[in-house]
Amino acid sequence: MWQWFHKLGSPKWFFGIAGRLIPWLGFGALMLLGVGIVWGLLFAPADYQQGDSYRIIFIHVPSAYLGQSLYVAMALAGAVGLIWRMKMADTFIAATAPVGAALTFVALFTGAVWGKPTWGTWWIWDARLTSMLLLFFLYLGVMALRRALEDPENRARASAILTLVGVVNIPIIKFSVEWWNTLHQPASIRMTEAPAMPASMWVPLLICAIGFHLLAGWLILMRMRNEILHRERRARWVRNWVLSQ
Amino acid sequence: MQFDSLQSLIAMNGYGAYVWSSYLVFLVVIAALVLGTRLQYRRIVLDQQRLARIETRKASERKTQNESGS
Repeated sequence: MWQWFHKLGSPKWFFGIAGRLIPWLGFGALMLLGVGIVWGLLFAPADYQQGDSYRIIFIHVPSAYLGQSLYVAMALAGAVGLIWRMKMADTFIAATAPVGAALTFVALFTGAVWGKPTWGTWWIWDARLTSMLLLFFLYLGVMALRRALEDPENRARASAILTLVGVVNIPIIKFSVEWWNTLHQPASIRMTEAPAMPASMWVPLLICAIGFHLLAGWLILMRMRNEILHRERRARWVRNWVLSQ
Repeated sequence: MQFDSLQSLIAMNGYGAYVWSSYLVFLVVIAALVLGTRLQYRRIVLDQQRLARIETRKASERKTQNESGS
């Protein structure tokens, strides 16, 4: 375990492993998203209340889910970075913030577009929507903060602290639909219960969700490799690698 | 297959504009992210290659200067 942790802290080792994983993640994401989206758009039955508008679910739910879980992952990395001074933790935050921001934006946009035909409004300042918008701004905040600070150590500490402060928003998003009366419906799929929809709907949704995870992993690993090349630019192995490209 | 023609697939029983715009925005955002990541990579590699070349040139110039000077 500790040996693994030490290896994970080594940019050179991580760079190599990530390079081997990236093609598989990209291929898997393309396959699963292709199958899941085509299934969801063309073959899954229409909802008996919402008709075909519910087909937005196949990108809305996975992107909203990942928008939140990526933020939690950033906060965990922030804690690891602050406690063990692990540089790779900051590399992860730098790579993940834009991906999380993009997916949260997709969740907000598709939610607004889905809200119009189902609720009759694009936007309402209710708990779920507002806390999700706050999540988007937190991602932008981490990115802006990183851009504003030049000293790498200051930047790492400041963004780690911001991710940890912002993580209180995550349980608010999660439980907002239960604590407050909101327009947004509660979760239809939970780990502990049978899903509240037929298999012909939740199977393509699950395929899309796995595809989204691979897509995020693919993007994050590519961005982490970029970040490593930049940070370790003075290392001999980076120089040799860059010259071999 | 839930739709019997391309027209009905595009129309989605009146929800076409909502559904398709959602998927389009998703596609555009992901494409921008992938493109941004590739450009970031290219910029880093090209910058470092240029720097490395400048350094090797300077080093060789210094070497020839030293040789002609002595």
